[in-house]
Amino acid sequence: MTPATASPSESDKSSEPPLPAVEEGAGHEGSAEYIELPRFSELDPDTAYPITAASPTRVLVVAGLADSGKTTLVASIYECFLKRRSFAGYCFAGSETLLGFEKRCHLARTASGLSRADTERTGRSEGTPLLHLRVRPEGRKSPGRDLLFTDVFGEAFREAKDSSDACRRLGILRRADRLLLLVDGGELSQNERRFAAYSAVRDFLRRSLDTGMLPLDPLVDVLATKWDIVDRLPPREKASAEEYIRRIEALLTEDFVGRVDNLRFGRIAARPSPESALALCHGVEPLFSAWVEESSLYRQPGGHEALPRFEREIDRYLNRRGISRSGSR
Amino acid sequence: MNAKQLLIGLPEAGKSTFLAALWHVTEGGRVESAMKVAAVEGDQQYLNEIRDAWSSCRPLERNRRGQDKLVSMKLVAKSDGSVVDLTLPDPAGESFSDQWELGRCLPDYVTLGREASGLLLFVNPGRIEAGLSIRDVVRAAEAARGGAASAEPAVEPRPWSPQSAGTQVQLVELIQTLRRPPMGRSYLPVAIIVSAWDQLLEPEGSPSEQLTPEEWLAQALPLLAQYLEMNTEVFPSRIYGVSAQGGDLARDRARLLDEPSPWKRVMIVGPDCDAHDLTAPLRWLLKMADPDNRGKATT
Repeated sequence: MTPATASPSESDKSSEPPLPAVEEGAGHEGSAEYIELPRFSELDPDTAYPITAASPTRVLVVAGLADSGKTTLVASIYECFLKRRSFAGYCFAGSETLLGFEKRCHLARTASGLSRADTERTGRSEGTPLLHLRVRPEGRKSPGRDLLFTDVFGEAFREAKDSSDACRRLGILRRADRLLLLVDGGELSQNERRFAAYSAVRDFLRRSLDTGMLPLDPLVDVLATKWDIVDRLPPREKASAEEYIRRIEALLTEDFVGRVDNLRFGRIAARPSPESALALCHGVEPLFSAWVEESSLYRQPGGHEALPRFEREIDRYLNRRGISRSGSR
Repeated sequence: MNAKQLLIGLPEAGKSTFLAALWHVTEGGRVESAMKVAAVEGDQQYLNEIRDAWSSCRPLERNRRGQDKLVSMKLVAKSDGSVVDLTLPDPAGESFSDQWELGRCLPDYVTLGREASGLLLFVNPGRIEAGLSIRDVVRAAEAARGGAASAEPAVEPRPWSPQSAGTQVQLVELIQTLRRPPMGRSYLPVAIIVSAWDQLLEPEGSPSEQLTPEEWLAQALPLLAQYLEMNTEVFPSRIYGVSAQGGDLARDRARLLDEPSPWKRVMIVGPDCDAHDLTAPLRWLLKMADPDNRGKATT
């Protein structure tokens, strides 16, 4: 196919990159040659650089024991944008990792052939897989904001809560704009498993602070997940679970007073069971706006939200290393 | 003035039918507000073939992968007499499925993606894959049954494939791809063509009860609607409901063939367009390509 005419267009600009090398196509009708297009299932800190360099980006680190609902939370937020006109006052404005989101939603879709929704377990990975979502307030009241979600593999979480060395290996914690600590609500509703679920979160947070992996006065949300399980308990058991959760919220607040003054608590059901009356992403909406707008790294000591001194990620990076924009130290 | 337009649409989205009807409307010159053919130049064999099939209510032969057609028309605007040499591809829908599934495209698509002054994006409401969630299906089934579903036997899940993604996800990715290298577009007006619009109309409904194309898009493809609304600086867009055929070929064939002026079968709904004026989306795209109009008219 050869275009018959030439027209003045953006392609005439000298800044346009040259066409990439053409690769041989395989197996389709005709012997067409194809151009490979850049696309990602997941980003890593290098491939995310064009995003983080272009504008302030929120890195949301989701951590919790295995099967606490980390992947389901992120996938369900994406699912809400697929089904609704907005979510928590924000609209979908793009994603560099649509394939990754789709893959994570697969076991919750009829295309999987399953009759009961499931979530693929996050495997241990050498790198830091990041899922990208760009959102913008309804009505385009302000520019879009890039979010990068990453979850801490359950076994790495368990190791990090018990070992400073293991915790120090979770380098992404240093870049967390917010830490989302998940506690399995199903575990909290069982007397014999409650304490272990609570203490895992407490131990992880303490270890992260004591090793200096989290910034000063970090933003941390502790989320009791699978709230649909708690919600459907018989009244007496439900009241007991709720009371226990209130008590651990109070204990955590007390444990980290002066260290994490911005500790918030939530009760969420990212993907409630079909039998539950709760909606998709129950309890997430009231929290989401702060995930988009606030950042541990942009805060000043004392907990006041500061105007970001460095709008671009690259400037923040240089600043943290004591390098001025002119390049001198 | 030369203008190239990009056409995007998954298989059976209505691209060829639109082109066939567009050729008929413009060469006939009977639709009051529409652009018309200024002069017949070059080779119009393909356009004439699909027009003849369209006017005879014969199904159009689908383009095969890797055999995209490129057509050109010299059109004149009735309003001011300006002439435009319009170049449009008629791509195979499989080219776009490949792009999503395999992450690749033909070099000509990249060239056109860089040079086009506008994009016509086709959606066929009858061909939408929603990517249904198990939860929604189970809930709907339980509501229909009036009780909880019995437990299904456990099965091994089918492996994930990009093919299982919903239509709106694939369309968003096709548009996003235009922003990235090697196309790297920072501005491209988009006209969404919701084809087979007649199939969405309530037979007994009054005009006020009918969905507008914008309302339909927000309901049926919310991710795509959000993406376009949130990126008007790069992709200003308008949405049109188009019935290029004028009815269902199986059900309405006799009625359609009974119309001696096939252009009267054509129906289009949207901003600033008369009932049969299929050139309205093109006129808007050409207007938006003018640097003076950037940032003015959006959704």
